[in-house]
Amino acid sequence: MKTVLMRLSTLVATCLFLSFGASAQDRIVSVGGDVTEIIYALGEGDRIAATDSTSVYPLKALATPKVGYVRNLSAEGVLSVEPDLILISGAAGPADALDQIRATGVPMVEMETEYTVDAILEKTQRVADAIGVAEKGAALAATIEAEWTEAQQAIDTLDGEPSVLFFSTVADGSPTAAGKDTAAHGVIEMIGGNNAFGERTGYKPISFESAVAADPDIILVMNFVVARMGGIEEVISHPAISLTSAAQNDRVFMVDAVTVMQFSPRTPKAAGRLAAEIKARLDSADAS
Amino acid sequence: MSAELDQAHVVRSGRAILNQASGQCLPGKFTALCGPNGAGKTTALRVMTGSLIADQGRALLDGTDLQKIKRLDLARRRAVVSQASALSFPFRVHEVVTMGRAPHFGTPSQQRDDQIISDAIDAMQLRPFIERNYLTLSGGEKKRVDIARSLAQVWDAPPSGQSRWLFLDEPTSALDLKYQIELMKRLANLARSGWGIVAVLHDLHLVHEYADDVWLFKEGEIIEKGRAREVLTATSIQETYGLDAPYTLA
Amino acid sequence: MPVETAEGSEANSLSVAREKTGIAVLVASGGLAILGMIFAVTMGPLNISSGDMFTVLLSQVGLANADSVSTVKTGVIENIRMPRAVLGFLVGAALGSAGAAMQGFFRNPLADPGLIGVSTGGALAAVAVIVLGGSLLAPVLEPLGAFALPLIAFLGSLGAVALIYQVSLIEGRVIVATMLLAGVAANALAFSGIGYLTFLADDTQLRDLTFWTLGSLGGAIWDRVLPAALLMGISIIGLMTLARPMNCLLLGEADASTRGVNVEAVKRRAAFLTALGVGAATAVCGVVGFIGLVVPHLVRLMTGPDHRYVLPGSALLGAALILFSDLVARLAVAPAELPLGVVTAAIGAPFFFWLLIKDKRQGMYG
Repeated sequence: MKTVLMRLSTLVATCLFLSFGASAQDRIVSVGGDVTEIIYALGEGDRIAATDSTSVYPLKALATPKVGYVRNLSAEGVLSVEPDLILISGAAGPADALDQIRATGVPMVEMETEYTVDAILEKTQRVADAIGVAEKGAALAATIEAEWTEAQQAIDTLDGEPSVLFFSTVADGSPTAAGKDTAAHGVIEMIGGNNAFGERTGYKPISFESAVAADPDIILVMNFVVARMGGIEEVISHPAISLTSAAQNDRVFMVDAVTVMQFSPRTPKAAGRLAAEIKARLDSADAS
Repeated sequence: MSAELDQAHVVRSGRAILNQASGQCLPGKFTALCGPNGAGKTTALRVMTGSLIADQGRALLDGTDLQKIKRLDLARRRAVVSQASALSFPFRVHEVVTMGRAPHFGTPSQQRDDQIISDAIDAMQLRPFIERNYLTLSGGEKKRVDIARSLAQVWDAPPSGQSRWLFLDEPTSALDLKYQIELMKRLANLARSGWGIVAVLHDLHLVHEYADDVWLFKEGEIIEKGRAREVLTATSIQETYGLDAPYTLA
Repeated sequence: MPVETAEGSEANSLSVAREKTGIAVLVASGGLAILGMIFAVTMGPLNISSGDMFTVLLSQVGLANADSVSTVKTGVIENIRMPRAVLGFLVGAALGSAGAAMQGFFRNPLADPGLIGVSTGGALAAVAVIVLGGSLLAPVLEPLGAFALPLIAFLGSLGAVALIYQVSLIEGRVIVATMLLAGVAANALAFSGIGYLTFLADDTQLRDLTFWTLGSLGGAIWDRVLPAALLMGISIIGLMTLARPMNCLLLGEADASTRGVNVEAVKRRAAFLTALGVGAATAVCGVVGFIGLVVPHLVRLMTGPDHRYVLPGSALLGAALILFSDLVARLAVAPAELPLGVVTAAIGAPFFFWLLIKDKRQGMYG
C-alpha cells in the first residue's frame, strides 16, 4: 500500500512539474546521503540547492549548503532555500516538520526505508524519475545491478551462512549491537551472513557475556567506534571481546559507515569488497 | 568563676548593636537578660556562648578568654538552648537527649553516659515520654527535651575553678503559662544546685519572680545590672522600654 | 507506662533495643549484598556448569587449578562477571551512602546527591564527550582512548560541585539553602546545555546518550573498574566517619557547633566525598537514579534516623539493590540488556510504597 502511495505521489509530483510547464527543477533539496549520491551519480549534481548533514559524498556535496540533520529537520530551514523539489530519504524526520513542508505544496518525493539492493535500485529509479532523467536512471540502475552481480561472486565464495555480530558501540558503557530492521542488518544479509542478534529490532544494548555466548563467526564494527577505541587491535584485545573466537581468529572487521551503511549506489560494490576481505582473511587463516 | 563580657563591641551595618558591654554572670545564680527588641540582649548572649565573636572586646568563661578554649572543651562546659528546634527527622526523645552527650563521645564509659542521660531525663520529668517521637510532642514538651539534652551535655561534675553553664535564648516563648512557670522554677532550681543559668527573657513578671539577677539592655548598652527585685523598678522599666509612664510589677 | 526500674537501665535497654534493630538491618543488608555478588558471578547468559564455576572460583584463591575449564568460560567469569559484580557493589554502596549523607547535610529526608550538582556536572561533561568527541574535543580525547568518557565525566562532577560550593560560601561558611538554590540553577543550565548537545547529535550519538542517561554496568572491565573502585572506596569509607557529626547536625548547625562539632569541616567533607563517590560511579556506569534518594529512606524506615546505622545500611542495601537489579537487567531480555536505572526503580519503588503505607499506619511520621 505504501509503495502504491509513493508511486502515486511521484507521479503527481512529476505531473505538477510538467504542468507548471517548462524547465526541470534546479533548486533541489536533497535530504539523505544516499539520495544525494544518486543525484550526483546521475550527473545532475549542479541542480542541487542544498543537502542535509549526512550528505558527504561526493566531495562536492560537502560544499553545498546544509539544511540540518536528516532525522531532525526544521521545515523553515528546508524551505528557506526556496526549493522547487525536495527529495527525502525514508529516514527523515521529525514527522511534524515533514507535514509542514508537505502543507506548503512544494513537491516532495519520499523514499522508502529498506535495506536491500532492490531498494537501492528502486530509489535510483525514483529519484531519476522525479528529476526528469528517467533514462539516465535506468542506466545507473543497470550499472549498480551489474556491480551487484560482480559483488555476489565474491560473496558466494563465503561458505555457508556465517553468524555475524555487528557492534555499533563498544567503549562507552554497555556495548550495543544491531538487530533487524537496521542498515547493519541489511549489510549482514547482503554478504550472506546470519545476524546473531537478529531476534532483536533496532540497535539495542547487549551484554559482553551474551556476545561471548553467541560466539559469532564474524564480528563487524563501525569505523568510528574503531577510531574511538584507538584501532582495530584495541577492539580485538578488549578484555571481553578477546574471549570470542572471532577475535581470537582475527575475524573482526571494520565497516565504513558512509560507504556501506547509507545504502547508496556504492553499497553493493562495498559489500562485495567486504565479503572479499572476509574471504581473504579466512583463507589465510586456513592456510596457516 | 563567671560568665563574663569585657567591653564587648559588635557592629553591623555601621551601627553598634552591642556597645562596649561589660558584666559578669555568677554560677549558682539565674541571670536574666532583658530589654526591648534589638536592644542587644541576644547578641550579648551569643558573644557569651562563643557563637558570635565580638568585633572588639572579649568574652570569658570561668576566667578564660573564649577564643582560647578549644571547641570541644567549650562544649563540655557550657550548653546552649536555642529558641527554635530545627529537628525534622523522627528521633525518639531518649535519642535526642542522648545526642547531648556528643562532646563526650569517645571519653567516659557507656554506662556513665546512660546514667547521665537518665538523670537529665528525670530532671525535666520526661520519663513518660522517652519512647515518643520528638516531632509529635507539643511545644512545651519539645522545649523540655531540648533542655534535658543540654543538661546531659554538661552534666559531669566540673573540675574546680569551673562551673556548669546553661545559656538559653527565650526559652519560654510559645509556651503555655503553666509550662512557662514550670520552666522558670526548674531553671531557678538548677541555679540553686550550682549551675550558672543565663537566659534572654521577655516576660518581666516571670523574671521578677524567679530570676536572681537582671541585666537591662537598651540600644546596645547595658543600662542596669543587679538583683532582679532591685533593678526592676517602675522607672527603670519605663526608661528601658521607652514607656509613657512608669510600670510597676506586682 | 514503662515500669520504673533501676535508674540507668530504662534508657539503657531502649538504646540497646535500637542498637539491636540497627545491627540486624546491617547484617541483613550485608547478607543480601553478598548474595547479590554471588548471583552476579554465578549467573549469566553463558551457560557454565556449577562444577566449572567452583573450579574457577577456587582457582582465584589458589585452591584449585582452572586448566580443565575452557579459557572462554574462565575469561567470562574473571573478566566479565567479576569486574561487573565489583562495580555493581561499589556503585550501589557509593550512591546509597552519598544519598544518606546528603539527607543529613541538607537536614531533609528528600535530599539527593543530584542537588549539589554531581549528576549535573557529570552528565554535561559526558554528553559533551559523546557528542563533540569525534570533532571538537578529539585532540584532547584521542590519547585518553576508552577512559575519555569516565575521566571527563568525573572531572565534570567534581568541577560542578566545587563551583556550587564556592557560590554558597558566605564569610567562609557554606549556607546550605544557597547551595540548594545554586544546585537547582546549575541543573537548569546544564539541562539546557545537554539539550543543545542532544540537538547537535546524530543517530549513533543519540543512542549512546540515551543509554548513558539510563545507566548500565555493561562496560565493566577491570581497567575501567579499578580506578573508579578506588575513588568510590575512599568516598564510602570517608562518609562512614561522618555518622556521628551528621547526627549532631540534624539538630541545627548552630546547635551542633555549640556541641563541639566543626560544622564547616563536616559540610566540606560531606560535599566532596559525595562528589567523589557519585562522580566516579556516574562516570563509569551513567546516570542511575533512585538509589541515592530512596535507599536511605528504606533503611531509615527500619532503623530510625541514627546515621551510625543509616550510613552503612544505605551503602549495603544500595549495593544489594544494584546487584539484584543488574541480574534482572542481564537476564530478562538476554542476549539484549535492559538499562539499569529502569530496573532499579521498578524494583525499589513498589517496595518503598509498601513500607511507607505500612509505617503511615504506625504513625512514624506523626
